[in-house]
Amino acid sequence: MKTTASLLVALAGLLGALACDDDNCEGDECRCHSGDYCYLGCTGPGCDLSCASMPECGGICEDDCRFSCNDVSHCSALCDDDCDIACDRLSSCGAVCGARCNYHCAGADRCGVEVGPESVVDCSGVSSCVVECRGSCTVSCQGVSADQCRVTCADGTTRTTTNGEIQCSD
Amino acid sequence: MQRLSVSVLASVALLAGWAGTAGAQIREPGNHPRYVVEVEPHLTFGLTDPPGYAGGDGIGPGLRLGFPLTHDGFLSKLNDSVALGVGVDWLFYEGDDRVRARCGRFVEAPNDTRVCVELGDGAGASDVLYVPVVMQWTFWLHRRASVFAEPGIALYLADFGDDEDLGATPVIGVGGRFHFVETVALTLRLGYPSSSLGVSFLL
Repeated sequence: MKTTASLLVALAGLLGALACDDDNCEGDECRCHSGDYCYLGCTGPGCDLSCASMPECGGICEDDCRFSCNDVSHCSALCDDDCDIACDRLSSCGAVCGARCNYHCAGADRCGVEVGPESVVDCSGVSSCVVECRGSCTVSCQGVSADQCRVTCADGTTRTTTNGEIQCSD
Repeated sequence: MQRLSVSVLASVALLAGWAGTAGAQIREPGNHPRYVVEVEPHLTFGLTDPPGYAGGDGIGPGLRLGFPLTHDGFLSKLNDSVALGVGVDWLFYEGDDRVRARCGRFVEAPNDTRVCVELGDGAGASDVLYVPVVMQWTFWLHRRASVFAEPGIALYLADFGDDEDLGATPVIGVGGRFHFVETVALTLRLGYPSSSLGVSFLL
Protein backbone atom coordinates (compact mmCIF):
# COMPACT_ATOMS: atom_id res chain seq x y z
CA MET A 1 0.00 0.00 0.00
CA LYS A 2 2.81 2.37 0.95
CA THR A 3 4.65 1.71 -2.27
CA THR A 4 1.57 2.27 -4.39
CA ALA A 5 0.88 5.54 -2.58
CA SER A 6 4.43 6.71 -3.20
CA LEU A 7 4.10 5.94 -6.87
CA LEU A 8 0.80 7.77 -7.12
CA VAL A 9 2.32 10.82 -5.45
CA ALA A 10 5.22 10.67 -7.91
CA LEU A 11 2.86 10.45 -10.86
CA ALA A 12 0.81 13.32 -9.45
CA GLY A 13 3.97 15.43 -9.31
CA LEU A 14 4.74 14.68 -12.91
CA LEU A 15 1.16 15.39 -13.95
CA GLY A 16 1.33 18.67 -12.04
CA ALA A 17 4.20 19.67 -14.24
CA LEU A 18 1.98 19.08 -17.24
CA ALA A 19 -0.13 22.05 -16.13
CA CYS A 20 2.73 24.52 -16.65
CA ASP A 21 1.95 27.41 -18.99
CA ASP A 22 5.09 28.93 -20.39
CA ASP A 23 3.45 31.15 -22.97
CA ASN A 24 3.43 34.53 -21.31
CA CYS A 25 5.94 36.90 -22.83
CA GLU A 26 5.48 39.72 -20.36
CA GLY A 27 8.17 39.51 -17.74
CA ASP A 28 9.12 36.02 -18.73
CA GLU A 29 11.47 34.98 -21.46
CA CYS A 30 9.91 34.42 -24.83
CA ARG A 31 12.10 32.49 -27.20
CA CYS A 32 12.33 31.54 -30.85
CA HIS A 33 14.68 28.86 -32.04
CA SER A 34 15.07 26.61 -35.07
CA GLY A 35 12.70 27.04 -37.99
CA ASP A 36 13.17 29.52 -40.82
CA TYR A 37 12.08 32.82 -39.31
CA CYS A 38 10.34 34.19 -36.27
CA TYR A 39 9.41 37.61 -34.93
CA LEU A 40 8.50 38.09 -31.32
CA GLY A 41 6.24 40.81 -30.05
CA CYS A 42 5.81 41.78 -26.45
CA THR A 43 3.80 44.58 -24.89
CA GLY A 44 4.42 46.24 -21.56
CA PRO A 45 7.67 46.80 -19.71
CA GLY A 46 10.16 44.14 -18.73
CA CYS A 47 9.95 41.77 -21.66
CA ASP A 48 12.70 39.21 -22.18
CA LEU A 49 12.99 38.01 -25.77
CA SER A 50 15.54 35.79 -27.40
CA CYS A 51 16.32 34.26 -30.77
CA ALA A 52 18.67 31.38 -31.44
CA SER A 53 19.82 29.16 -34.26
CA MET A 54 17.71 30.24 -37.20
CA PRO A 55 18.15 32.24 -40.40
CA GLU A 56 15.94 35.22 -39.55
CA CYS A 57 14.58 36.40 -36.26
CA GLY A 58 13.62 39.57 -34.45
CA GLY A 59 11.79 41.19 -31.62
CA ILE A 60 9.54 44.16 -31.04
CA CYS A 61 9.11 45.33 -27.48
CA GLU A 62 8.64 48.39 -25.31
CA ASP A 63 10.44 49.84 -22.28
CA ASP A 64 12.96 47.96 -20.14
CA CYS A 65 13.20 45.13 -22.62
CA ARG A 66 15.94 42.54 -22.92
CA PHE A 67 16.58 41.00 -26.30
CA SER A 68 19.29 38.51 -27.23
CA CYS A 69 20.08 37.00 -30.58
CA ASN A 70 22.57 34.17 -31.02
CA ASP A 71 23.56 32.16 -34.07
CA VAL A 72 20.98 33.86 -36.25
CA SER A 73 21.82 35.00 -39.76
CA HIS A 74 19.75 38.19 -39.73
CA CYS A 75 18.54 39.65 -36.51
CA SER A 76 16.30 42.63 -35.89
CA ALA A 77 15.32 44.49 -32.72
CA LEU A 78 12.96 47.38 -32.11
CA CYS A 79 12.36 48.67 -28.62
CA ASP A 80 11.63 51.80 -26.62
CA ASP A 81 13.66 53.12 -23.67
CA ASP A 82 16.03 51.31 -21.28
CA CYS A 83 16.60 48.28 -23.46
CA ASP A 84 19.42 45.75 -23.54
CA ILE A 85 20.12 44.27 -26.95
CA ALA A 86 22.78 41.59 -27.38
CA CYS A 87 23.72 40.01 -30.69
CA ASP A 88 26.36 37.29 -30.97
CA ARG A 89 27.61 35.15 -33.81
CA LEU A 90 25.51 36.31 -36.74
CA SER A 91 25.64 37.94 -40.16
CA SER A 92 23.75 41.10 -39.37
CA CYS A 93 22.10 42.69 -36.39
CA GLY A 94 19.97 45.74 -37.01
CA ALA A 95 18.31 47.61 -34.20
CA VAL A 96 16.41 50.76 -33.38
CA CYS A 97 16.01 51.66 -29.75
CA GLY A 98 15.18 54.60 -27.52
CA ALA A 99 16.95 56.36 -24.67
CA ARG A 100 19.44 54.62 -22.40
CA CYS A 101 19.81 51.69 -24.77
CA ASN A 102 22.60 49.14 -24.31
CA TYR A 103 23.48 47.56 -27.63
CA HIS A 104 26.11 44.83 -27.78
CA CYS A 105 27.19 43.20 -31.02
CA ALA A 106 29.96 40.59 -31.28
CA GLY A 107 31.18 38.04 -33.77
CA ALA A 108 29.11 39.56 -36.56
CA ASP A 109 29.54 40.71 -40.11
CA ARG A 110 27.36 43.83 -39.92
CA CYS A 111 26.10 45.60 -36.84
CA GLY A 112 23.85 48.60 -37.24
CA VAL A 113 21.90 50.50 -34.64
CA GLU A 114 20.05 53.74 -34.16
CA VAL A 115 20.00 54.68 -30.49
CA GLY A 116 18.39 57.35 -28.37
CA PRO A 117 20.06 59.67 -25.81
CA GLU A 118 22.36 58.31 -23.08
CA SER A 119 22.92 55.05 -24.87
CA VAL A 120 25.93 52.74 -24.81
CA VAL A 121 27.04 50.72 -27.82
CA ASP A 122 29.67 48.00 -27.82
CA CYS A 123 30.91 46.30 -30.99
CA SER A 124 33.66 43.70 -30.82
CA GLY A 125 35.09 41.29 -33.34
CA VAL A 126 32.86 42.47 -36.17
CA SER A 127 33.47 43.41 -39.77
CA SER A 128 31.59 46.67 -39.52
CA CYS A 129 29.62 48.59 -36.94
CA VAL A 130 27.53 51.61 -37.86
CA VAL A 131 25.84 53.65 -35.16
CA GLU A 132 23.49 56.59 -35.40
CA CYS A 133 23.04 58.46 -32.15
CA ARG A 134 19.99 60.67 -31.65
CA GLY A 135 21.55 62.24 -28.55
CA SER A 136 24.47 61.60 -26.27
CA CYS A 137 26.01 58.18 -26.60
CA THR A 138 29.18 56.23 -26.04
CA VAL A 139 30.36 53.75 -28.66
CA SER A 140 33.17 51.27 -27.98
CA CYS A 141 34.70 49.26 -30.78
CA GLN A 142 37.26 46.48 -30.43
CA GLY A 143 38.61 44.32 -33.22
CA VAL A 144 36.54 45.97 -35.90
CA SER A 145 37.88 45.95 -39.45
CA ALA A 146 39.92 49.05 -40.31
CA ASP A 147 37.88 52.20 -39.76
CA GLN A 148 34.69 50.24 -40.05
CA CYS A 149 33.37 51.44 -36.72
CA ARG A 150 31.42 54.49 -37.82
CA VAL A 151 29.39 56.74 -35.55
CA THR A 152 27.08 59.53 -36.66
CA CYS A 153 26.06 61.96 -33.95
CA ALA A 154 22.85 63.93 -33.72
CA ASP A 155 24.57 67.03 -35.13
CA GLY A 156 25.39 65.10 -38.32
CA THR A 157 29.12 64.65 -37.73
CA THR A 158 30.55 61.21 -38.44
CA ARG A 159 33.67 59.70 -36.90
CA THR A 160 35.32 56.34 -37.43
CA THR A 161 37.66 54.09 -35.49
CA THR A 162 38.98 50.55 -35.43
CA ASN A 163 39.74 50.09 -31.76
CA GLY A 164 38.57 52.77 -29.42
CA GLU A 165 35.74 54.81 -28.07
CA ILE A 166 33.67 57.52 -29.67
CA GLN A 167 31.34 59.75 -27.78
CA CYS A 168 28.54 61.97 -28.98
CA SER A 169 27.21 64.77 -26.85
CA ASP A 170 23.69 66.17 -26.83
CA MET B 1 10.02 25.99 -16.18
CA GLN B 2 11.02 26.19 -12.50
CA ARG B 3 7.78 24.48 -11.55
CA LEU B 4 8.48 21.77 -14.10
CA SER B 5 11.96 21.18 -12.70
CA VAL B 6 10.72 20.97 -9.11
CA SER B 7 8.00 18.53 -10.06
CA VAL B 8 10.44 16.31 -11.94
CA LEU B 9 12.99 16.36 -9.13
CA ALA B 10 10.35 15.58 -6.52
CA SER B 11 9.03 12.72 -8.59
CA VAL B 12 12.49 11.29 -9.18
CA ALA B 13 13.24 11.49 -5.46
CA LEU B 14 10.01 9.69 -4.61
CA LEU B 15 10.65 7.00 -7.19
CA ALA B 16 14.20 6.57 -5.95
CA GLY B 17 12.89 6.09 -2.41
CA TRP B 18 10.28 3.70 -3.63
CA ALA B 19 12.96 1.64 -5.36
CA GLY B 20 14.34 0.71 -1.97
CA THR B 21 11.16 -1.09 -0.93
CA ALA B 22 10.06 -4.70 -1.34
CA GLY B 23 9.93 -5.69 -4.97
CA ALA B 24 12.89 -3.51 -5.85
CA GLN B 25 15.02 -4.93 -8.64
CA ILE B 26 17.29 -2.04 -9.53
CA ARG B 27 20.32 -3.92 -8.20
CA GLU B 28 19.49 -7.06 -10.17
CA PRO B 29 20.98 -6.59 -13.67
CA GLY B 30 18.89 -8.19 -16.37
CA ASN B 31 15.87 -8.79 -14.14
CA HIS B 32 13.23 -7.14 -16.27
CA PRO B 33 10.78 -8.15 -19.01
CA ARG B 34 12.40 -9.46 -22.19
CA TYR B 35 10.62 -7.89 -25.12
CA VAL B 36 11.23 -7.47 -28.83
CA VAL B 37 9.35 -4.24 -29.21
CA GLU B 38 7.62 -1.77 -26.93
CA VAL B 39 4.46 -0.40 -28.51
CA GLU B 40 3.28 2.78 -26.84
CA PRO B 41 0.23 4.62 -28.14
CA HIS B 42 -0.17 7.88 -26.28
CA LEU B 43 -1.72 11.29 -26.03
CA THR B 44 0.92 13.92 -26.72
CA PHE B 45 1.12 17.36 -25.16
CA GLY B 46 3.12 20.31 -26.46
CA LEU B 47 3.80 22.17 -23.23
CA THR B 48 6.30 24.56 -24.76
CA ASP B 49 6.24 26.48 -27.99
CA PRO B 50 7.21 24.28 -30.93
CA PRO B 51 10.25 25.01 -33.10
CA GLY B 52 9.95 27.90 -35.53
CA TYR B 53 7.48 30.72 -35.21
CA ALA B 54 4.48 28.61 -34.31
CA GLY B 55 3.25 29.03 -30.78
CA GLY B 56 0.84 28.01 -28.08
CA ASP B 57 0.09 24.72 -26.42
CA GLY B 58 -0.41 21.58 -28.45
CA ILE B 59 -2.21 18.29 -28.08
CA GLY B 60 -2.62 15.24 -30.29
CA PRO B 61 -2.14 11.51 -30.75
CA GLY B 62 1.17 9.74 -31.03
CA LEU B 63 2.86 6.38 -31.16
CA ARG B 64 6.30 5.34 -29.98
CA LEU B 65 8.06 2.06 -30.76
CA GLY B 66 11.03 0.93 -28.72
CA PHE B 67 13.46 -1.68 -29.94
CA PRO B 68 15.86 -3.03 -27.31
CA LEU B 69 19.51 -2.71 -28.28
CA THR B 70 20.71 -4.42 -25.13
CA HIS B 71 19.00 -5.74 -22.02
CA ASP B 72 22.14 -5.06 -20.01
CA GLY B 73 22.77 -1.37 -20.13
CA PHE B 74 25.76 0.87 -19.51
CA LEU B 75 25.94 0.15 -15.78
CA SER B 76 26.96 -3.41 -14.97
CA LYS B 77 25.72 -3.36 -11.37
CA LEU B 78 22.31 -1.88 -12.09
CA ASN B 79 19.25 -3.21 -13.82
CA ASP B 80 19.29 -0.95 -16.86
CA SER B 81 18.73 -1.41 -20.57
CA VAL B 82 19.05 0.60 -23.76
CA ALA B 83 16.56 0.79 -26.61
CA LEU B 84 16.18 2.65 -29.87
CA GLY B 85 12.96 4.62 -29.85
CA VAL B 86 11.23 5.84 -33.00
CA GLY B 87 7.83 7.34 -33.27
CA VAL B 88 5.42 9.82 -34.65
CA ASP B 89 3.51 12.56 -32.86
CA TRP B 90 0.90 14.75 -34.46
CA LEU B 91 0.14 17.85 -32.45
CA PHE B 92 -2.39 20.57 -32.99
CA TYR B 93 -1.26 23.94 -31.60
CA GLU B 94 -3.87 26.61 -31.06
CA GLY B 95 -1.39 29.37 -31.91
CA ASP B 96 -0.63 32.64 -30.20
CA ASP B 97 -1.09 35.71 -32.37
CA ARG B 98 0.14 38.06 -29.69
CA VAL B 99 3.60 36.63 -29.29
CA ARG B 100 5.11 35.13 -32.41
CA ALA B 101 4.49 36.08 -36.00
CA ARG B 102 5.92 36.87 -39.36
CA CYS B 103 7.24 40.37 -39.86
CA GLY B 104 4.65 42.65 -41.43
CA ARG B 105 6.89 45.62 -42.24
CA PHE B 106 10.61 46.32 -42.25
CA VAL B 107 12.44 49.64 -42.21
CA GLU B 108 16.03 50.25 -43.25
CA ALA B 109 18.48 50.56 -40.37
CA PRO B 110 22.17 51.57 -40.23
CA ASN B 111 24.78 49.48 -42.03
CA ASP B 112 22.37 48.05 -44.60
CA THR B 113 20.49 46.18 -41.94
CA ARG B 114 16.75 46.17 -41.59
CA VAL B 115 14.49 46.20 -38.60
CA CYS B 116 11.06 44.73 -38.29
CA VAL B 117 8.73 47.44 -36.97
CA GLU B 118 5.39 45.73 -37.29
CA LEU B 119 4.32 42.16 -36.80
CA GLY B 120 2.35 40.56 -39.59
CA ASP B 121 0.14 37.55 -39.55
CA GLY B 122 0.47 35.71 -36.33
CA ALA B 123 1.36 32.12 -35.92
CA GLY B 124 -2.19 30.93 -35.80
CA ALA B 125 -3.34 27.39 -35.39
CA SER B 126 -0.89 24.91 -36.77
CA ASP B 127 -0.37 21.20 -37.07
CA VAL B 128 3.08 19.87 -36.33
CA LEU B 129 4.18 16.34 -37.16
CA TYR B 130 7.21 15.11 -35.24
CA VAL B 131 9.23 12.02 -36.07
CA PRO B 132 11.51 11.47 -33.07
CA VAL B 133 14.45 9.10 -32.96
CA VAL B 134 15.85 8.65 -29.47
CA MET B 135 18.08 6.50 -27.34
CA GLN B 136 15.95 5.27 -24.46
CA TRP B 137 17.94 4.41 -21.36
CA THR B 138 15.72 2.60 -18.89
CA PHE B 139 16.27 1.82 -15.23
CA TRP B 140 14.10 -1.01 -13.97
CA LEU B 141 13.57 0.14 -10.40
CA HIS B 142 10.88 -2.21 -9.24
CA ARG B 143 8.64 -4.91 -10.60
CA ARG B 144 5.98 -2.23 -10.93
CA ALA B 145 8.09 0.76 -11.94
CA SER B 146 10.75 1.77 -14.40
CA VAL B 147 12.12 5.16 -15.38
CA PHE B 148 13.95 6.32 -18.45
CA ALA B 149 15.79 9.18 -20.08
CA GLU B 150 15.64 9.86 -23.80
CA PRO B 151 18.03 12.10 -25.72
CA GLY B 152 17.61 12.24 -29.47
CA ILE B 153 16.52 14.24 -32.46
CA ALA B 154 13.22 14.78 -34.25
CA LEU B 155 12.29 15.83 -37.73
CA TYR B 156 9.26 18.07 -37.79
CA LEU B 157 6.87 19.33 -40.40
CA ALA B 158 4.75 22.29 -39.34
CA ASP B 159 1.70 23.18 -41.38
CA PHE B 160 0.39 26.71 -40.86
CA GLY B 161 -2.34 26.47 -43.47
CA ASP B 162 -0.72 28.79 -46.00
CA ASP B 163 2.87 27.88 -45.24
CA GLU B 164 4.98 24.94 -44.15
CA ASP B 165 8.16 24.58 -42.18
CA LEU B 166 10.39 21.50 -42.26
CA GLY B 167 13.29 21.10 -39.87
CA ALA B 168 14.96 19.17 -37.11
CA THR B 169 15.05 19.78 -33.39
CA PRO B 170 16.78 18.19 -30.39
CA VAL B 171 14.69 15.86 -28.26
CA ILE B 172 15.07 15.37 -24.55
CA GLY B 173 12.74 13.46 -22.32
CA VAL B 174 12.44 11.76 -18.96
CA GLY B 175 9.66 9.49 -17.96
CA GLY B 176 8.39 6.59 -15.99
CA ARG B 177 6.26 3.49 -16.38
CA PHE B 178 3.85 2.09 -13.85
CA HIS B 179 3.54 -1.58 -14.68
CA PHE B 180 -0.01 -2.88 -14.22
CA VAL B 181 1.40 -6.27 -15.08
CA GLU B 182 4.91 -7.10 -16.20
CA THR B 183 4.32 -6.29 -19.86
CA VAL B 184 1.67 -3.57 -19.70
CA ALA B 185 2.39 -0.18 -18.20
CA LEU B 186 1.10 3.36 -17.88
CA THR B 187 3.83 5.53 -19.37
CA LEU B 188 4.36 9.20 -18.63
CA ARG B 189 6.98 11.19 -20.48
CA LEU B 190 8.03 14.83 -19.91
CA GLY B 191 10.27 16.57 -22.35
CA TYR B 192 10.85 18.74 -25.33
CA PRO B 193 9.35 19.23 -27.87
CA SER B 194 6.51 17.17 -26.45
CA SER B 195 5.35 15.23 -23.42
CA SER B 196 3.00 12.28 -23.40
CA LEU B 197 0.78 9.96 -21.39
CA GLY B 198 0.10 6.52 -22.79
CA VAL B 199 0.13 2.79 -22.35
CA SER B 200 3.12 0.60 -23.13
CA PHE B 201 2.86 -2.94 -24.33
CA LEU B 202 6.11 -4.88 -24.06
CA LEU B 203 5.73 -7.52 -26.78
